Amino acid sequence: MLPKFRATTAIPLKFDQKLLALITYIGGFSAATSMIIVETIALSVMISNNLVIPAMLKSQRFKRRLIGDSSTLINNIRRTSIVLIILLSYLYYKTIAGQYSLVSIGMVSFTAVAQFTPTIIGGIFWKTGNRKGALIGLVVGALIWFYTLIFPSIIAAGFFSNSIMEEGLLGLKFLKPFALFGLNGMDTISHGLFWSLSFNTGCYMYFSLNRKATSLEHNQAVIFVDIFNYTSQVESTSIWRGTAYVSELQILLGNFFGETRAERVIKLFAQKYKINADNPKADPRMVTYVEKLLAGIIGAASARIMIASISKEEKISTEEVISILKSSQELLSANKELKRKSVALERATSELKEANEILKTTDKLKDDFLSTVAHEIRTPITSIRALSEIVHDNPEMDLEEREHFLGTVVKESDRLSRLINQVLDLEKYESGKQILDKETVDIRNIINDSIDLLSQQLKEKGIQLTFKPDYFAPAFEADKDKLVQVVVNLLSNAIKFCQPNAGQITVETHYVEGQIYTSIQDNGIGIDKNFQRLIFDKFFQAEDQTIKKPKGSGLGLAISKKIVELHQGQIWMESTVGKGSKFTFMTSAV
Amino acid sequence: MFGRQFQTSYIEHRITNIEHRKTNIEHPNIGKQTSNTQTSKNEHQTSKKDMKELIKVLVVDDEPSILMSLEFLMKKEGYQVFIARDGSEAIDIINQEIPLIIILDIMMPNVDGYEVCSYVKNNSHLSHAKVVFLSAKNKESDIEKGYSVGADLYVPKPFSTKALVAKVNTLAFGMIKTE
Repeated sequence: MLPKFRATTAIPLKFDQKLLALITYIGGFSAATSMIIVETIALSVMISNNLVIPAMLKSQRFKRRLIGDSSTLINNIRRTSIVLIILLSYLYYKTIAGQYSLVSIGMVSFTAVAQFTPTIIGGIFWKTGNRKGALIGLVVGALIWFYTLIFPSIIAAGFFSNSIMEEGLLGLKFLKPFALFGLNGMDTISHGLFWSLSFNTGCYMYFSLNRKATSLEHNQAVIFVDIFNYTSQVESTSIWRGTAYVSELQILLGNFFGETRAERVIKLFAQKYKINADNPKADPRMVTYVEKLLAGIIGAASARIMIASISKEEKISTEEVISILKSSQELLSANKELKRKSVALERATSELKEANEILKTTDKLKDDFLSTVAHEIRTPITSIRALSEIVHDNPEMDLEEREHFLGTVVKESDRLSRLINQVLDLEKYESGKQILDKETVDIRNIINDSIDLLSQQLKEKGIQLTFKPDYFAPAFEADKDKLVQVVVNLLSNAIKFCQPNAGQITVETHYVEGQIYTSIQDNGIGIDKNFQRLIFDKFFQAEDQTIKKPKGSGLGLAISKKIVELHQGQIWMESTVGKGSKFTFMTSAV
Repeated sequence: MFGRQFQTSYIEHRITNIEHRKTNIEHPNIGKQTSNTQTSKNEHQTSKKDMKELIKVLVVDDEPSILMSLEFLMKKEGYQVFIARDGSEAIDIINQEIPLIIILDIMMPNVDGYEVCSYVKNNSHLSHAKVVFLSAKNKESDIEKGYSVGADLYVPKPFSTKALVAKVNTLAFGMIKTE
């Protein structure tokens, strides 16, 4: 009876229940045996799938054999590995394991597996960790693990001199397997785990930091660590590229699953994903699916190689995958950039539109101005031409009539030249080419000069003019001629709209807080409210006139406004229809 | 003589004007215009002249000097001439006198030339009237608009007096068949 079953059979034996003891024994034995069987099979699958088959697939000769009649070959590989595993474990049991408990063997294995911890954790969370660091860390950790935990058992088995345990390797005391670097007081497992993991982690970190990762490694690390940022792109990117034929996939599957099953699997898959069954070329999804099925039997690595062997795969190197990811990342940022640009563009467009609208309006204003100028110029020209032609063609006209016609021609010519001068004037003001010729002036002189210029007209129309100057108004800097032009213009408008022999015009100046206000008030016909804000526009002449259209170019007030504005002043008006108008302009006396 | 008369309304002086015209017809200068033509044609011209007395021409413009020259020209041709200084005055006279020819400015206060023309063309009792626009608006679009409201002729300002007179004559006698 095997020693481990002694405890379990002891109790029934004590009570002399031999049958029960037998059943217990058989139960325990079968459990142990089945465990061995399961473990062995698992190991053999691992060996065949992940070691032997990939190794064989590397060579063309074996590869062909594998594809041909693979199931027997694989089975043989597995059978061989089972035999070898059992032999090896028996050997271990015979020579070494006898001295250790099952528990400590388990612990030793755990310690070995623990060597992967730094690399795995680092791989997941640490972008700087790289291949070289991981490899060196693993190798160093494994060596220390072997030296501190396995080596002693080999020594104990008598393969090496026991002096190594006492004196250390080559007589170096700090290399004693159970007290490495003089570390005492720990049990062997903890001691081995401590040193192996410490060195493993240390080497991993040191070499990772020491050696700069290649850009490929770096990108891989970034993608792996920040996988969730990339997930959607990875899924949407077709990683597998290439062509494989459905028939070949089916044969490949048949090798491992049997032909009928392979056929059914392919059919079902095609149905499920609505893949056209007539297309001899396999859908990428189908290829992936077959690969997964194969991986279940021969392991992922081998499955990949198998699939590659039957498909004309355009190899996608990691660089390519990275570049796909990068380009989709770039695409994304380019897209963002594009969006931003288009927003900016939209804004620019609307600004342009606005500018265009303004230009159009200005253009229209200019057009209107020009056509008005043209009209205003054509009118006197028409009269001049018609009247001259009449006089020319009718020598028999009596003298009085002829003089009347010729006099009108002269008047119309005057009107024309005045108009042209004013248009040119206004153009100068509007283009800012008009420069003020400033001197020290007194508002009283300006008004008196203007009244003098118009005295003849005032007398003719029988208008009474009153001037009430503010004697406190100081002298100031201004262009005298230009201001006289303004006052003359306002005065002649007042004269124009006053009734003959009943007109009263009052001119006043007021000096208030550094500003000189000059107002010219008449008792003429007044201006309708609707037109009051328009009259400073060029060529505006009140349309609704109960009397005849006022003579004048329609530019006088526009020019006056420009002149006042050039003096940093303002001009405005108040008026009541039937009672008269009052025009006021303000100039700075500072 | 006519220069003075233009100031007053034609209606008041209609009879005197007709008398003036009669004297004009006999005036040698008028004969000059049609001189060196055959006697028969001269007679024919004279008969036209007589007819012109019966043809009423309305001249509408807000510019006194233009009105003055147009009135002179039309009277000299022998037409019965009426004048109006704006659109509303023109419509009054049109309804009163029912002129055959209306020489019409466009840009005028109150009622503009387009409105006057539309008024004429949309009234059946005025349908025979011929409208001549005489305007300083001489853009293509202005002319098109002028014809679209029913004008028979569009003469841009400034105009040639002889050409205008010839055109008005053609319009007047294109309608009244003298044969």
